[in-house]
Amino acid sequence: MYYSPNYRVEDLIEKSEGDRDLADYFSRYRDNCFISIDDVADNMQGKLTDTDRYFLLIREVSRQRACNDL
Amino acid sequence: MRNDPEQIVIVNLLGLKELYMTLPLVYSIKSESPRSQVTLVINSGYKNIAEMIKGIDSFFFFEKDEISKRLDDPSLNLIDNYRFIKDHLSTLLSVKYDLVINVTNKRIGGIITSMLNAHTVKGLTFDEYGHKWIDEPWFNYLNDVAYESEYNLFHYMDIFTCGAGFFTAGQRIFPLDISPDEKGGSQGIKNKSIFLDCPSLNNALKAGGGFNDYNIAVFNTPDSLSAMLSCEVVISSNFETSLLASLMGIRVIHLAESDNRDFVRYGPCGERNFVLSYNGNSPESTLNLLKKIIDNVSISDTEPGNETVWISRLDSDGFIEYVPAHPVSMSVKELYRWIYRAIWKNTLGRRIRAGDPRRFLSIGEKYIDRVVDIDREVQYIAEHVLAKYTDGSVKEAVKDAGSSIEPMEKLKNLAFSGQKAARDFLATVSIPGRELNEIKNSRKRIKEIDDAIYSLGQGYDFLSPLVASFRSARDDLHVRNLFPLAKTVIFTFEDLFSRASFMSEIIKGLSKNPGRI
Repeated sequence: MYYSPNYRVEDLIEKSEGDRDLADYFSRYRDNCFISIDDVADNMQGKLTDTDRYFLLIREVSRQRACNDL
Repeated sequence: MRNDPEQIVIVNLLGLKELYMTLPLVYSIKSESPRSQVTLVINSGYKNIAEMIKGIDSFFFFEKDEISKRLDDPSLNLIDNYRFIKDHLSTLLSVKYDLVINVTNKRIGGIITSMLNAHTVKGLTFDEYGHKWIDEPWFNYLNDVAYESEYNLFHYMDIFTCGAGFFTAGQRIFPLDISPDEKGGSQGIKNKSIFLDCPSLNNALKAGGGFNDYNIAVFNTPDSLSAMLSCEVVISSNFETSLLASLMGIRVIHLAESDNRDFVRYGPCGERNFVLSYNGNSPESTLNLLKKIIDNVSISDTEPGNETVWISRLDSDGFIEYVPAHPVSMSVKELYRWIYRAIWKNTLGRRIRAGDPRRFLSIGEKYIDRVVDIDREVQYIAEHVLAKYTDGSVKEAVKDAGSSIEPMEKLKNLAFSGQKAARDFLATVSIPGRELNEIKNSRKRIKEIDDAIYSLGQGYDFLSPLVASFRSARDDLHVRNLFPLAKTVIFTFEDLFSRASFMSEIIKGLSKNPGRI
């Protein structure tokens, strides 16, 4: 079964320090305690940014790993 | 006028056999455009193999395994992995490419392709809103039909080169830097030598089996591939070995399970290689047949039994095809495969060659009336294909196929209605200020026709390749940019109409053909 780990949003924001794009990126999830890569990939809005595409790629590797498709 | 060589990147995040099947594409590109710089993006697991391949200017090894491992590491979080991937891809993404060719029929290849800075993209990618986009008929076929369909009769090597626009007919041998002197392992391999990569036959051949006169080298490690170069014949049940040998011009006998047709996609390329389909029940008879093939003894009078032997050849357009080396029974499904092959070659291939990929037809106009010579295709199938199967089975298959005319006519009518609905949709979205309701109604009509086509496909298995490629273009009728979507919808209905018409005409032609049938 596909398992997507959860990450603490506060940790992500803290780790994004120094990268404004990333900090902005995760600040939209402030109302959530935890998010997964699926949450990130499924909630992209508007035109895809470069950052979005990196996260889509992480999600895809994660999915392939789950399907033993590596 | 620019002097820089063309920067071309090929994205191939698939397996080893797909890596081998990409080499003829590189060869075609370098032959056609010697100054071009070709970068091949592959999984890092194939780094050692890649080092043996000549003629590729650079590789980018995608660290999928490493990324996967990191995703499992609880000490690393999403930001760590994001930064790792960003850094890992930075070299690849820093180049401005003239052309990206993505032969990967999986989302991962499409995502990386969408990140590359490219003037032209061929193959799966994702647009600015994340919607799947394939603006190339052969790659549409690869993604929507060939991957799963039992009706596909194209070798992936041909699909890759056609999709990339670098198809060249004929034998495609790629130079590989595997030197027996350097790598060792070739000692004792002289005349009448066989390279064997088929564990189930190891014991039988070692025990004699009529092969006592032969020197046999058995595949055990990747290094032993060097021994392959000194052998006259390669016997293998492994697609990677068969492909590699055939690419190097060595004669191949590929062993396949009797009910598995994967060799059509991945089998040995080039001419006069063999595929022996066997079920393992009678090893003596399999060995006898193998020996006959190796000794060039005619097998044309071999009775259809536990084994079927297929021979590879190039068809009249230079595509690889496998035909029976002795008369075997033809099923109606097999007949459909050959008909589909003719349809795809004409409706995918010639559009590209004609340089007229995206022209509107008037409603109901048959593209095939302009560019396809039905008689030529009927004649080829009748004379060069059906002649390889047993008489009675061919007659029966053609008769059975006749019953498909009626559903095919239904499909044509639906495609005709679809063209009209799609044109209404285009008119609606083209005029500023149109009411949202009008757009919704227009979409609804297309959706109804989609559903009817899908239902028809569900009822008739042989229609599935047509319906699969048709439906996939309609993944999302709610994208924001409606104008290009409307045009795409029109094209897919046109294609469906043309292909259904083509199929119908070929079946009628075969039924009337007084020659072979």
